[in-house]
Amino acid sequence: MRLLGALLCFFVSTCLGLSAGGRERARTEECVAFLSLFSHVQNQISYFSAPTKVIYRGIENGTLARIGFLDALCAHENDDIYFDVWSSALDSCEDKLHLTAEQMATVRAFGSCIGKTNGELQLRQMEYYANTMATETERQRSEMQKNIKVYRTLGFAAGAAMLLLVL
Amino acid sequence: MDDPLIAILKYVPPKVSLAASAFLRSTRERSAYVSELRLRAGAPMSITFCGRNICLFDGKPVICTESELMETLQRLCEDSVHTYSETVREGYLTAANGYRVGICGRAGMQGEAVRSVYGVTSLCIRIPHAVRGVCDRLLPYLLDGGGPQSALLYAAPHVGKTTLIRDLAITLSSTPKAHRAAIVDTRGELAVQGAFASCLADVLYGYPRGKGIEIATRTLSPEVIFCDEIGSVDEANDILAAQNSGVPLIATAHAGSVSALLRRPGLRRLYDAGVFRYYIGVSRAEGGSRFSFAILDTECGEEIAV
Repeated sequence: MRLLGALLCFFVSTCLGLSAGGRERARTEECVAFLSLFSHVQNQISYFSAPTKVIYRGIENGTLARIGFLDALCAHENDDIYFDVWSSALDSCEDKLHLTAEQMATVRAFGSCIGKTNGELQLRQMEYYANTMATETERQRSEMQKNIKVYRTLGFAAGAAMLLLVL
Repeated sequence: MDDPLIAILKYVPPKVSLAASAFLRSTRERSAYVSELRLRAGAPMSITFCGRNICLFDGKPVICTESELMETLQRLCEDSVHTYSETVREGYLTAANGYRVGICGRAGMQGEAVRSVYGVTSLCIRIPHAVRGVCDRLLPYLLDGGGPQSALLYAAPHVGKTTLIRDLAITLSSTPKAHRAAIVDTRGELAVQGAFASCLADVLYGYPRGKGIEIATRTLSPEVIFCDEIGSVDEANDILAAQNSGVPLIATAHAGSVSALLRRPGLRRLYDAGVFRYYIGVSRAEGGSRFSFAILDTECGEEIAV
């Protein structure tokens, strides 16, 4: 019985360590997805001056589709007043996102530029947020490498310690 | 289609919407007589009702801020101001359902050209009215000789030229007359949503006037072409080049009288070239809805008041 309990503690602790690593991986994937979305929006505005609705309709991204962000972006197409769809879409799937507060603020700020001014000014503002996101993504990538190892080791070590203590 | 005034109130700041709704109630919902809403940053907003400009009050004058005007503009653009940059630089925007919005702001210049408009200070929202039957008294002249005749409708701004030419286009392209009409709708004001649903009309949206007329003549084999607000020399040259085909053109222009019309070089060229048979001066008594016409027939030199 004691052995079973000890093994259970070890298993749970190791799983917690691994899942913390999984969250880091998901956060990185989301950063990369938003970064590619930023560049899609910038291209659509700079080359085609495409209306915001059309830009949103043309986005393809597995990570953001899984979260439900893309559906939320297109859900308001037939609204009487089409305004600030990005921020409401972000609100609607905030609980499914793993981004840090800083990353979230960058995504929100990027969205708040879309369609609000003439193309040139908009692209300048977007460039700033895209650069911020690129830096964040790089930082997130290196954090992920480091943190995954730390969480895995911590989970395993804590599990092993509990196993020994219980036994 | 919703009442165009009620529909536009969804886009404006709530205080403007409330004041305009209260005003409409006080006029027993006569929204068809409202032709314009004018919002100004730091100054009272006004509504043009039966040709009179009335400042709205909500206890005190309704005054918008610059950011409220910017937000209204963004809503009208459906969050796509960049898509409309070209026309915003020209000082206007044609929003959904044919609302034309005049835009005042600060111009960012690049050399001689306006590069961008920022800091919006006024929005002049014109309410489109698809009024039917206003052109009936012109039809005997415009259909003189069997087919449509070319004509230029001229009037001072805000008299109702666009309403009139839209009604003409609908009437001439629907049964029983049913001529094939091509409509060059450069500013998106003529073919408001659903207006030509049961007509034999082909609409060229957003084309420059000259180019649109050329394309219509070359590819659509129309029996009559409609075009709103012509005037510049370039447009006149393009129209002259395209008009050799003999397809009658019915167009509008800003001018208070024939002499004022002929002082504009572009229109003078069209007059000299005999592009239009009829020059029709349009007027309306202040606050009235009935049009009066002064028709100059260039073929016989007669002027008729209708």
